[in-house]
Amino acid sequence: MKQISTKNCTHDDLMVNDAKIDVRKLNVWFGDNHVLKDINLKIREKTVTAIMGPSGCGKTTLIRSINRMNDLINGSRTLGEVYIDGYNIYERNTNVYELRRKIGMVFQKPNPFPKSIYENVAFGPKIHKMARGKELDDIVEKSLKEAALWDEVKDRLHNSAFSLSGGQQQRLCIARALAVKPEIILMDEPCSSLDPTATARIEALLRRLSEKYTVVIVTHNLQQAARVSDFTAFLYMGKLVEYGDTKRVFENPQSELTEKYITGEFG
Amino acid sequence: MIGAQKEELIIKIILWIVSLISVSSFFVIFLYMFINGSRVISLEFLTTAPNPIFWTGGIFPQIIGSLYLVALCTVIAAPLGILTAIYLSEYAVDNLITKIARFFIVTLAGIPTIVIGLFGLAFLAYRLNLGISLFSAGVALSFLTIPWTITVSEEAMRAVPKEYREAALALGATRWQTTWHIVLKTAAPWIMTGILLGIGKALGETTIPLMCGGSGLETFIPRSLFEPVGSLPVYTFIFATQGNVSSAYDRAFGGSLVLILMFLLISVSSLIIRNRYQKKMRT
Amino acid sequence: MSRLIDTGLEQLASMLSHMGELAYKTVSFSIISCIEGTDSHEQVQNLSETLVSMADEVEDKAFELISRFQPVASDLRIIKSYMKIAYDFARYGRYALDISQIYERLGGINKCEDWIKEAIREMGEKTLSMVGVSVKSLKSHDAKLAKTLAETEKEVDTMYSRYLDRLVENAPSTNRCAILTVLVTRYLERIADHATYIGESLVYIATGERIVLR
Repeated sequence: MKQISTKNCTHDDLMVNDAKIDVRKLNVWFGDNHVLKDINLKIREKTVTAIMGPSGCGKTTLIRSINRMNDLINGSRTLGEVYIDGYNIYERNTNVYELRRKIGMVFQKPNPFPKSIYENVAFGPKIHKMARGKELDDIVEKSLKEAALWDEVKDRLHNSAFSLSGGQQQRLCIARALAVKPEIILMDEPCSSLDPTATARIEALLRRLSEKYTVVIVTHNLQQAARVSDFTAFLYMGKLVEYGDTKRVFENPQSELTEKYITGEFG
Repeated sequence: MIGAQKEELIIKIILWIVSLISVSSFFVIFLYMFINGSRVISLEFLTTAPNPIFWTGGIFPQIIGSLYLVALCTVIAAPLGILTAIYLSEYAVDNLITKIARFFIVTLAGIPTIVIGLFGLAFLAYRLNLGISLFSAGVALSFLTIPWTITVSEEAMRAVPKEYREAALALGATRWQTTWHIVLKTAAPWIMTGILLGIGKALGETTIPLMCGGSGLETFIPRSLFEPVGSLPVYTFIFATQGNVSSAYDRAFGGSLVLILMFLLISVSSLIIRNRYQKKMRT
Repeated sequence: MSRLIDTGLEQLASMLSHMGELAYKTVSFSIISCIEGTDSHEQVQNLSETLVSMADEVEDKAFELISRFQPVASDLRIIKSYMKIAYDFARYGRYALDISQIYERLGGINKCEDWIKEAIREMGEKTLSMVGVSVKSLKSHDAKLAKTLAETEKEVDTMYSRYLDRLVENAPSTNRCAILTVLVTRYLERIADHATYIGESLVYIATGERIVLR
């Protein structure tokens, strides 16, 4: 097997100067487990970037380092920098709450709160004291529209979120994230529990969102990465093996490991 | 084949009979109390004070006294218990100290009530000079229900899926906002039923109010926290142990019937709370 | 561990290699009988038709693999290139048929001048060797060998243009001979082109680079 180091990782676009997210020499440990090793990754604004790799390669940890959700894990340690709009979020005086407001996150399993549809979307704006009354109603409506859910729920906003189907619940979670006016949306295998139809809707939505937001999606579904993303990163055993234009990565991967992974020889 | 089918049938019948026996024990007790107690139940019995000279009269101060005791106990135990549970479930890191804390909570929950009663009498009533009073008994009772409240609340909060917390935190909520708006709200119905069952425990407790609350024969309602207080279990105990005075014996049944009815009320309301919540979540 | 798609890819490869052998046979029939001035129309027609239907089969199989396995990377490049190569093979057959049809219409080259016969023989043999190389490098997925086709193709091109020049300077005794050989050399030149297309596809499979060998 070819020796991998970050040096021979294939980057198509290391020339980007105006990266929205710029990960530099990022290392993460959980206890003694070195999960991410010297990751360098520049993510462009208003694109969809897919992070793929076999289970346990560190892809979820990587996106969770972008909104500092790893901080919540006992015994986690981070070394390196993550710049968002040129500001290192691992600076000591970073306001993590404001950071997480700016970065929406959608999880593997739809996880609406056990509240009404309306309350789910209004939760974020409420805790950040962004709006109340009519203004809050407007935010809820706008977010649900952006998440392509409004037409399906406008007559039952005060029903429980659990009355929705799985795909609808996931779009509700997207609306909830959009309500706090984020700039970046992180998605951690958002379709893994959905059927093909619901998946297709989320994927189409995701493409549309990338006109306004910077989207980073973790997926173990290669075809999904190929369908939705502009750029694809391949992570293997905590290292970034390949990163580049999605068309290029899927048609002509530069690394032998990527080739083996995407053609299904391992993983 | 036929053997297996027969075996299944026999097991089913045995299980059915055993279950019937267990469940019916409650009905037997309730029925027995009802038959013996209903004889003395009247508006007068419920609204007048007992007469400890002729072993007659009613149980009004005892009903109110029990309610006072339970209220005081809950006012102390619920906030303390819930806040401790919040700390253990949401803030504390799993380490030796929290393990020790949990061990003590479990042990405290199992302490014989006579020990708490003695502590209440010796330390609260005499040492701190709070007297045989509503306050001493209420505080001592709360020692009984605090561990219970902690355990129930912590379990309820731990049962809240961690995905909810992650979602809230990822939206930029602080840990307290997450705990308050998401975890507590989700766990609330279960915490509430837990507290209600704790109230039930306190309501039925005899030893503690007997040792540091009062004689059970009080003819008046306490006007301050530091006056003795009557309670239904103590009343029942005292009236049931007066030998062959039949008027006292009947009244003991009356007191215990009222107690059992209050108990039922608590159980039914906790059931309603949970059902209503579950229905709300489904639609 | 072998993957499910591997069986399909192997099938596709064997279909294509069989097709290559047949294409070589077709072209060699046509060119040799042209040089010798004999009629091969009937055989070439049959072979050419078989090649066309085989190209369809390859395409069907390729589509099946795409829809079933959503291939990526080298798998995708192989499937895409195999479809293209199958088409190139079918074109070999078509031009071979064109050459053999000239005999029907205009007769053989026996009555032409010797220098003309010599030129046709030389160009025919060169072209046939290119077809042989294209089939061989496909079978062994030999990109290096495939790249040599570029050189040979240049030689065939030069032969073609030099022949036209000579024909203009020294008009042959009959128009028939002129027309007949212009058509033959034109088709040979086209066959050589397709051989290099196959070479390009083989380089693409190996490296992912889209190169132009011509």
